[in-house]
Amino acid sequence: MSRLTVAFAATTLAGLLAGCTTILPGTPKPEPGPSGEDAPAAGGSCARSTSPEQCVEWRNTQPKTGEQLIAQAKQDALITAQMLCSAVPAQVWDRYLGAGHYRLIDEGRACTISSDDTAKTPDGKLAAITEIQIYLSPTESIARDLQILRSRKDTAGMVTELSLAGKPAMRVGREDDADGKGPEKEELSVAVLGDVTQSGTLRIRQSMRPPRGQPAEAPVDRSTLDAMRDAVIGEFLTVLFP
Amino acid sequence: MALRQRFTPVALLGAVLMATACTGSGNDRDPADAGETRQDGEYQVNAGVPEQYRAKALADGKHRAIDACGLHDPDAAQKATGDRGDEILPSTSGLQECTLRLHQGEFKSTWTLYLEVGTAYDAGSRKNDAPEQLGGMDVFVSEGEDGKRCEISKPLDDKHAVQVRASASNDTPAKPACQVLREYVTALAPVWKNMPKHGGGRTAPELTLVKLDPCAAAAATLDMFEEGFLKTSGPMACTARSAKVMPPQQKPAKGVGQPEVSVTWIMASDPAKLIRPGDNNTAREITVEGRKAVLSPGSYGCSTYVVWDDQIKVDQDNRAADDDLTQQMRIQTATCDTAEEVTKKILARVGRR
Repeated sequence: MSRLTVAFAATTLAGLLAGCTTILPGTPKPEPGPSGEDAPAAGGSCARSTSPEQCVEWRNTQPKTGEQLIAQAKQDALITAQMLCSAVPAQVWDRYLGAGHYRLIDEGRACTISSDDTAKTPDGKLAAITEIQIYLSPTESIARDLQILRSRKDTAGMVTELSLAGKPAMRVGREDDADGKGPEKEELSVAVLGDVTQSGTLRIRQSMRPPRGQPAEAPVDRSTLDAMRDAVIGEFLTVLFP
Repeated sequence: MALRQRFTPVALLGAVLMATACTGSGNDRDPADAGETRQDGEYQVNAGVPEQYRAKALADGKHRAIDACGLHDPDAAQKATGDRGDEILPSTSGLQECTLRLHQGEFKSTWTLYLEVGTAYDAGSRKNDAPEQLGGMDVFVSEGEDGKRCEISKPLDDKHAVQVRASASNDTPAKPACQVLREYVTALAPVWKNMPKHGGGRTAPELTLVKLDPCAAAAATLDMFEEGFLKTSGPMACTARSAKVMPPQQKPAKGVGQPEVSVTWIMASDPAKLIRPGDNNTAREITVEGRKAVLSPGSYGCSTYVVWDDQIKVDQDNRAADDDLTQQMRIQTATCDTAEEVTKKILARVGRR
């Protein structure tokens, strides 16, 4: 014989909750980003960060270019990140990431530009999320990376050298970064001064992950990522290292 | 005479509890002693908790007042699943958890609904889960890979949530897990909007151990540690350990745990069952402050189970007969050598009858 072993006396309460609607970071209804405008989202975007306490709001900042940008990165990583985040106009991000994209600075040095994680597909379901993270290292070179990565058995096979927008670049990837199951990633480093031995490396990670609420390893259509990869690098380099 | 709760298929009595705020409670009783916690939202963090852990301890203290089983509604679960209620029990992992099982008959389990109050749930978690409104509540939904599992979280603050997880017992459930859970949580919304508190009358028997702050218990052992401090690890658990940085040590011997004292409030069957007659290496029973305690050595240290109230027992259906549950303190120490001293210190501080 089955039985429920704790008795219940219901407390049916309704409508006594004045003041209980505080908006939390990662709120269910964040403000969408300002499509078509190069201005931060009203109310900020850090509420949508995974680490709001380590996030800095993006402010539109005229970027320096070339050697001056590298010198800036040696002095102030945060301002440099603001410049990287400001390099490409909103209309361009609308094209790659869709309306409602947003930008923020994670951990004071990396710019994140994300598609709207509340955007929906035509059938009303949440859409997959595409994200670009960019960071300028003023002191590291690709040659140094290659030497370290190729010297180790576990990483040697993960490295590919290539050319992007006419500059030497390096891709580091594992098999599951491109297996059609989330998260999908492209991790690229570009020798911005055109020489792999020179310091000054732009690190750009482009990634796609399943819609919110789906399992982390749910299938992801990475054709979007494949189509935008080189073009996005080109957009940054055209402005920052012409 | 022991109060033994038995078969009670969901009597909804319609009691009304007044609430004034999100974290408020109708219970306005004062703490009876140093270890007892106010349940009116003015929880006092123990002085042994250092500054960097006080916000977490404050949140855990407030969440301890929430009645986890009171957040379930077997009637609503029956409607959502189409199956019958089988068993609802507080957890052996901690009294912040409560599990409701449903079935279609004896040995035909269908769904298990696991609920936890005060589980860690931060911005990263919220970013991964799908924001939805169910019954007028903002919640976050996470689907499992096969339609057999689903999780819904309702934030309590920016780092914690009430989380309920549906898990199907068979490979082809009649409904997808998230459909079941959405319907269930929608029906629960009126209850969840004013979290029922322990002692508020929504569940019986009342779990009186939750009135006691586990950090008040752990604090009784602080003098055993050099630069001792306290840290909570959930609404029902607190650990005392040394702040002194120790040099790296070799791998501890088998059966030796961390050099700390952890206390957790749980619901468990009679700990005397851990004792194997004739085997001196297994558990042993002691009596401290009039309470039965069992010291049980394990692979990672010693667990001491103190029966808090042997007069209130809860019958568990899916177990052998005469295997009732009681509220217990679980005290974990590095070895059983110090466990008796630790237990005496704790009960002398918070367990006197």
